[in-house]
This record gives sequence, C-alpha cells and structure tokens, in this order.
Amino acid sequence: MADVVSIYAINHFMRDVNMERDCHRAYLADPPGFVASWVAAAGPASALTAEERAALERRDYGALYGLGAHPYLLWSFAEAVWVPEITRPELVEDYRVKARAHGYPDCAT
Amino acid sequence: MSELVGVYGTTHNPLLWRLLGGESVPADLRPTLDGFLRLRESIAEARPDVLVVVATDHLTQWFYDNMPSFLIGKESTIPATFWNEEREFGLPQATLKGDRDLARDLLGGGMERGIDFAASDDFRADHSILLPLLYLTPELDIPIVPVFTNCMAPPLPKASRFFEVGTAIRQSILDSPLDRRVAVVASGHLATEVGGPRHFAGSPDRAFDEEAVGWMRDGDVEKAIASLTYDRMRDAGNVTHQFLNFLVTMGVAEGAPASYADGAHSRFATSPFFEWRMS
Repeated sequence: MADVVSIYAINHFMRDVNMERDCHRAYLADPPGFVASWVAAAGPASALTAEERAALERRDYGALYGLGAHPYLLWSFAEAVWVPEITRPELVEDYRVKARAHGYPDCAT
Repeated sequence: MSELVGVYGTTHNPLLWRLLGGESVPADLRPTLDGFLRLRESIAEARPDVLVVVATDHLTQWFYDNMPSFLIGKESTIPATFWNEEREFGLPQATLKGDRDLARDLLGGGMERGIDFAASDDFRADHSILLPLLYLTPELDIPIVPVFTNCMAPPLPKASRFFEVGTAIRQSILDSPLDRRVAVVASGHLATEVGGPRHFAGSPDRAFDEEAVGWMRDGDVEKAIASLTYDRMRDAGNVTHQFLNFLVTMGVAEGAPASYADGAHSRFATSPFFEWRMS
C-alpha cells in the first residue's frame, strides 16, 4: 500500500503545475529540474518517495495513476503537460489503457 | 420572511462551453442545451432575488490541506474561474454578485439546526458554480450564495447528510427575515468518469443514470440514500459522487417528487436536469 502522506505530495505537486502559470511553464521546460526545485521548497507533508519523484520527472501519468494520484487532478495534469505534444484524442486513449491496467486504486490520503 | 420559489438540479460539465459556443450545436448535445433552456425559462418565471448554488469545488481552493465538508460562501463580490479552467475549458473570467446577508442567515440557521457549516469571506467560484449560471442566468445578474460540498476527497459525508443539509437550508431560507425570493440550484453529475479507464466515452453506467433520475421523479429519498454508497457511485464512474448535491435539493424540496426529471444523453455522459416548481 502506498504511503498516504506521499499521495498528498503527488496531488499537491499536480495542483501547483495545473494552477500556477509559472510552475506549468517551468515544469514543461525542464521536468526533472522543476521537480528538484519543488522538492527543495516543499514542506515535510509534501515529501515525495523516490518512485513518485521518478514518475513526476517522466510525466508518467500511468505510474501516477497506479500510485493513487487523485484521478481528476491527474487528468488535468496529463492534459496540461502532454497536449499538444500528443493530441488530446491520443492522450484520452492512452490514458484509458494505462489506467485500465490499475483498475481503481484507493486515492484516499 | 423569505420564500422558496424553485429548486433545480443540473450539470456543470465544463467541456460543454466550447462545444455549445460554436456556430452550430452538435446533434448529440442538443438535448443537453434544451435541458438548460428549459430550466432557464423556469427560473425566469420564478423571478428569484437570489440563487443558493450547491456545488463542489474541484480541488482548487478547497484542497487536502484544508478540506471542508460543507462551506457557505459569504462574499458580496465573487470572482469566478481559475487559470487552469481558462486553459483547459476556455471558460471566461467573471464576477458574480454574492448575497452576504442571506449567506449569514444560512450559516447561522445551519448552526441552529445541527449543521456546522464552515464559512469563507474570501474565495473564488470554479466551473461547478459558473458553468450552470452561464446557461441558466446568462446575464449573471442574480446574486448567489454558494454552498460548497466535498464530493471529491474521500471520505465523503454520507448521502443522508446531504439530505439533512438540504432540509436545514430550506428551514433557514423560510426563517430568514430578509424577505427574499430564493431559488436553489444544485450542480452535479449522473454517472461520470474523468481520469479513469472509462472516461470520455459516454455514460459509464446507464443503469445508474436511469435509477437516479427515477429517485428524483418519484421523490424516493429512502431508496436514494440506501443506494448512494461511496462504492456504488465509484462503480458508476469515478466522479459520480457529485450526484450527492442533488440529495441537497431533495432535502430542500422535502422529498417531494420533482416536477421534471430527465437525463440528456451525449458523448460525455448523461446530463441531469431536475426541477421542483413551487407554484
């Protein structure tokens, strides 16, 4: 079972990228670099595990889904950081396939 | 005393905004637009001074660091739309009027009736509030009192609690000395999935949709409360829990059968349209 505190951290990270223009821009420009600076500034409640950090560095929505990221936030995040690099219909389908592999993970923090 | 002049329930699917704003309305979305227009006409006839809007913030301002189960918004000027909603849905920035006096009466009235609402004097409305208003009262000229509910971050309050909140809101409206004509609008979903294996492929659970519309049409509070467990709603789609906002309208209507209840099918999901006329 995933560490519930770190699910909070993933959700917090995604919310920042989704909602803060500067975070969104910085993350798109350099995902690992932005993750490093976010981690450095984050408080103890927002500590990421190594696995979560790697998933965020790769913009890996399938892995994040499996780790228990909130699905609503995760879809907004995936769309914000992959479109237009891939088209929205392609993303909808690929996300569907990757989520299906995990079913419905517990997303309670 | 104030008066309850109508109770309504509808969708807030933000993806409708771009699609319904084009030159022609896509055929599959015509029933959804017709549902909005029906409710718009009904609200105009009811001539409310204020709308109490029951809605769920989508983890924007109410987040895991501070998550209220039920919160009354007490601002007199309410900014609407977050940057991510402009980007993702093309929604406009807007400024809504708030009815701070009625908000205070609902907050105090809830406390007296055992509903300990949280409250905020400084918040923003997301699409769960703005989207229905853009179709129901497009001039955005009727003041609102937002009632935010947590349908996003489990554990959620029970279905019976949403009904009780509605009952308390009804009584608080009727007891308010402000002499307002008040309508209540709930914003929610039928079976809907976003960010899961069944997203954006029509309704994930037509059987749930039909059953749920039936509870409203029949005023079957008991069956609705018994059926609306967390797991049943998740099986119907991972954001279906926002259907719980319609339990608030059932409470406001004292469990009366809706005068109109329908689900409009589309590419996204089945959009709910519920109406309790008061005269």
